[in-house]
Amino acid sequence: MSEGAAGGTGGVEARGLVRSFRRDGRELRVLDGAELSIAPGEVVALFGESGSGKSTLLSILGGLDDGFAGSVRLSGVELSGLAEPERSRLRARTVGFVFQDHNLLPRLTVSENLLLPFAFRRGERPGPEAASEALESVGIAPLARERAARLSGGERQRAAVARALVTRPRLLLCDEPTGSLDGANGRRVAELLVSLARGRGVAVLVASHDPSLWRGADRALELSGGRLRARLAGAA
Amino acid sequence: MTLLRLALGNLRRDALGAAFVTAAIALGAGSLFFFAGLGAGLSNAVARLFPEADRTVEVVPPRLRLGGLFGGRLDEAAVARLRALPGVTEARRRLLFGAPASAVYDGSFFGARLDVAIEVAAEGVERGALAAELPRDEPFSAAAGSPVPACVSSRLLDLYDGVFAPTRGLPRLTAGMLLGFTAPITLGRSLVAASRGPVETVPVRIACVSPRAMLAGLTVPLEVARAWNLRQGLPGDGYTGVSLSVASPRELPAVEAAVRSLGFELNSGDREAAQAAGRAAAVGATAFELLALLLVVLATGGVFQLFSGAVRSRRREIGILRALGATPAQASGLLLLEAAILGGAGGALGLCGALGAASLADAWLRRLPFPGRPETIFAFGTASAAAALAVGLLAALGGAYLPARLAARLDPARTLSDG
Repeated sequence: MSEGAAGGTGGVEARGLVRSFRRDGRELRVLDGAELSIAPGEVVALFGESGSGKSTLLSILGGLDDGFAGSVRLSGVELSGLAEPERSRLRARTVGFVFQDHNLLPRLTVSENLLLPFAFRRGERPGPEAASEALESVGIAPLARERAARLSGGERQRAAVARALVTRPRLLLCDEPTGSLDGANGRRVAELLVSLARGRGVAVLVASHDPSLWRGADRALELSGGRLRARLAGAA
Repeated sequence: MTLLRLALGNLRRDALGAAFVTAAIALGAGSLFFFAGLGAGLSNAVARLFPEADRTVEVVPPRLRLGGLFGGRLDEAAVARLRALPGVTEARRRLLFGAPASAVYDGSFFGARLDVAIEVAAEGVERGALAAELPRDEPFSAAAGSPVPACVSSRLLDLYDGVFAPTRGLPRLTAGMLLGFTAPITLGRSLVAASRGPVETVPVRIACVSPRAMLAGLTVPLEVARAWNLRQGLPGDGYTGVSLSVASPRELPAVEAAVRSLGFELNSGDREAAQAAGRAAAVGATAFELLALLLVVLATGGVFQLFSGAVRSRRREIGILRALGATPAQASGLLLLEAAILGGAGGALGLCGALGAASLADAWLRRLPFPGRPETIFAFGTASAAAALAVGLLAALGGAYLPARLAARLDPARTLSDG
């Protein structure tokens, strides 16, 4: 799969990413020429120490952070040239996020949480059956009418995966999606994520501390010193 | 629908703050609606008491006359000159009955017994002067063998109902009850002064009750007043007054100046009273409207506080919404939607409260025996209701505007990583 195809047919491609922050009066360069390409249906695991810039990279690829230098092509669209509203709309159409602590809105039901992304899209209002279908795929369909606040940690994270996939994104960005779960639950969620993403042809980037959970990934990358390096086979 | 549920849920999260702000908006918008209604109602009441006072010039002959040098008599030629003045649309003649008259009545009076003797004044006017209150089939003219039609003042009826009837155990009357009531009056005889002319008794029938009728007396057809004067040996030509109607209040000063230049004087008592009453009502209502606006401003401050706190405590939620695809405008729109819910609810509550307070005020006023009291001192219209609702909405949206802009400017990546 060529690098160009990754950024142009639904995947993501980043070239020469540089991102700095000022901390305590000093410039801290978190990304320093990072390069990345993920093709549709490919699952890439991203490892790195705390503070190495994994979340920053995910934010940039998902269009949440525009303070970078370099190039990011998402589904064929160059992010660095987009104004904020266009970036938001592109994000709504093409990107799904799964966060460490699920980030469901506790006052809404599980079904409402799943349909929330559609509230920000023009002319696309799927019915509750779309939510039911997505919840079915993660095995918690009976919880559709439960308030998110009443779910267990594992159930919440499954609901978060369902919310990320219900919009049929091209790119799924997962930031420590199993970080708040115990080993067994974490493994189940990781397997679920990989199988669902592969089945739907979604490009996946999973940032994690725990390589043991992501052995099913196609590739593993390590972020260190602001650059991405391929991790040795079998390390993920 | 999901966003509406989310907005309502967010408001429930700080229910006390939301309730406080809604109440403040209700108080401000409701007060504004209440006092606007009071101002309009009082203006209407003044206009009913002094109808067309701002469009009428009352012309009287000069008190000092030296031949034709300083103006003259109000005869037909003078009336024609007045009618021809620029801005004048109508000139209606008036003639006072110049001799004494009195009425002695001892008989049944709407179920009670009335034994009264009173001095009577009378003034003759053209039918058009009372056309608004005269029944259509009432010719308002003298007919041989029939009682003389006469109109009495609605303000006099208010005085009777408010002061006279309750203190003397007499029935309260309405204008409808009085129509057709017939009683004799005696011309040429006074109860308090010597009389010079011939004495005659004529029956008088109440033909209308009008705010335009003479306050303390009977208003009769112009030709009747002239005939009565002639029979009492008084001059039969000329008039004691002419009412000039003008097209708009703006024309009054020019017409008044022209009238004075013709050597006549003005009787502006009614207009001055109307203007004084109107000014008092307007100043009072405006002062209270300003107070209500101050309440609205305070409510806006409350909304600002509430939503500033909301943005601080909901940074992560806003970040999540942005990650899910909300544009900055949609993120701020959610806060403005919440503010609009508060503003709409506050405005609607304020309207209901104002209408309730107005009903209570009217009910309280109905128990006070003051003359000329209207049925209601409020005039609420759909425009002022819409304005009050709009003020409630604007107060809420205005207060939430800056916090909403702050929410739009939040960096989603940072809010999600900060927690």
